[in-house]
Amino acid sequence: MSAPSLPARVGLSLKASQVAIGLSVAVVAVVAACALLAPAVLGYSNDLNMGAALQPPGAAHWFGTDNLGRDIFTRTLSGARTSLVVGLGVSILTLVAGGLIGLVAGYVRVADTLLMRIMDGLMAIPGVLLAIALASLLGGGLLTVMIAISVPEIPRTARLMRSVVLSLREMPYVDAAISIGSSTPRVLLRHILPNATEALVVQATFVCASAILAEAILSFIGVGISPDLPSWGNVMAGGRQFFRVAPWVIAFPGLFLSLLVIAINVLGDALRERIDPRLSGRRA
Amino acid sequence: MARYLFSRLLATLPVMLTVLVVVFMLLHIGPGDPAAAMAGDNASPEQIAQIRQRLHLDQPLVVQFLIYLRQLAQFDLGVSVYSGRPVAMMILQRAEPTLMLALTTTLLSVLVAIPAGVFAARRLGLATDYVVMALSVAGFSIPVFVIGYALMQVFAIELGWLPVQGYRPLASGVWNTLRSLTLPTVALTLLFAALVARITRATLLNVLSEDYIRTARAKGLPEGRVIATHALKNIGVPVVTVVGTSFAALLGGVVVTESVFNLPGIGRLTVDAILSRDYPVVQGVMLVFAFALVVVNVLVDLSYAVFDPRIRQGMRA
Repeated sequence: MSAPSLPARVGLSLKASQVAIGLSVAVVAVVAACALLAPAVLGYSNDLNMGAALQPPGAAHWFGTDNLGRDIFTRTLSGARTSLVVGLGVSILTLVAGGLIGLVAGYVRVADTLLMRIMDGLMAIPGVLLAIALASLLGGGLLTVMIAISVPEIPRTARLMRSVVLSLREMPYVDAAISIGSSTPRVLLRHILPNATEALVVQATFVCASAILAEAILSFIGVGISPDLPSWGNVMAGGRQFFRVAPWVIAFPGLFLSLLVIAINVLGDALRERIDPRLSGRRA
Repeated sequence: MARYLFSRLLATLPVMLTVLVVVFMLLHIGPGDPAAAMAGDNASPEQIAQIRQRLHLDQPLVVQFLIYLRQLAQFDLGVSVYSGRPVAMMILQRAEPTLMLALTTTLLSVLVAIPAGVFAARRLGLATDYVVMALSVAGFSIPVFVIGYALMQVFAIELGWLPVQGYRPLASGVWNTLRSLTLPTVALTLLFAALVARITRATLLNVLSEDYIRTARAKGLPEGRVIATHALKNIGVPVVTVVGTSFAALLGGVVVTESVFNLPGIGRLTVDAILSRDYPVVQGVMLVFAFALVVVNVLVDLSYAVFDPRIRQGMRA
């Protein structure tokens, strides 16, 4: 049997993409529902129960328990809230700071060199390493962890925004706005920023996925959010020492985290392709 | 070529200067006295004062930075607060596992990802394309430590094929070293190869729609030869670029992977230093990693000449 023709393959490809997007939306919706409802319904399962420590998955504890007897099912569902808050919070911080820096660098020539050299310098330090060092220095609160994760993400967003602004500033409608006497802030906010938002929204999805992963890494290393507030990262970190006897402590939150990040990345790719099919397959 | 190299190196100076400022300022952005933070909760005022004096924290910020620059000019990365040993020496002693892990991961990633990307592009829209793309999305979406523990559970604990954790140095034999690095390398390769495979596929799809490919096919060249002699030559620049830019992710992954697999490399040194607030060590490692990234990026730029004759001619001009 010969392979399908190219148009047929493209048709199959579209169908597969739609299935992937549908599944991804479902995953994000389930996790968002957990994030909204689970802490109110199930609590955070912070009470210690040493008599039930390291119980394997079963009827009493669907996902088993950790070394302090805490229910992993409850902590995994409730941890969705923290992980999602970190993802969304870092996206917002990064878009605001990176977007602003990119906007100014792309439009104001005198600021461009200085700002971009600073961004290049920040990008020259491995992001995970910088985030770990910042989290350790600033302390392990939710906001400080979000700031620590945002700092290495800002340069990439700023670079993307700058490249978009550099092309937008050559557009006739920008020339027209300048010619009728619009001030620089007005040109930036009324004419350039609205046309750059699509690229920023796509970037936000990838930053969100990356931030959820980074929070898990920070917590796993031991400089993330305190275990009193469960996140997928710190629930997994609790299972490090007991991995050989209780792999479920890492496996279940790891599965949820991986599915969510895959779903967000798939949605980001789909969004990017919809906005600009030429960019398909490339990352900022 | 020499002039191009010189201008490229010149361009890295502001980047390295920014890195120096960021790394230097790390000590000063945390709340409170950095000397007290490093000394720990049970330190006496004398011990705190000693650390403050040793790290010149009692001097004005500008003076501290100038002292820092002078030390670096003498290849002095400072001294560990806890062990009292030179940071440069500590990094050198831990370099072997990290370099070996980075090397094996890069080699395996390129060996796996480029054929996978080419294969996926040639079978666009077919099952193999979906499998490669799904694996690549999973590769950069699943935390490296989750993959690491899963591999450890299956291949070390259940099957007993490979060591669970630890590193065997090259002095114990290359085979032993490779055996101890197999699981960490595979875990990290999934992340690194995912990025390379995606860009290989996307670039090759672009190249395959070019006129010269259509001409080659119209001349009756077999598809394999069209790919090998016409298409692959033209994906070199973007693929090498993504290998270079992914090097930062690789170094970040090294930090986590070494912790998971208990490899005594620079990544593990970093994590231990961060947890014990040994900031001179953290600063030293960050500088070395940033320098490595800058060097890799310069090498990537120079490698463009190998793949693209137009760039080669531009460099000669």
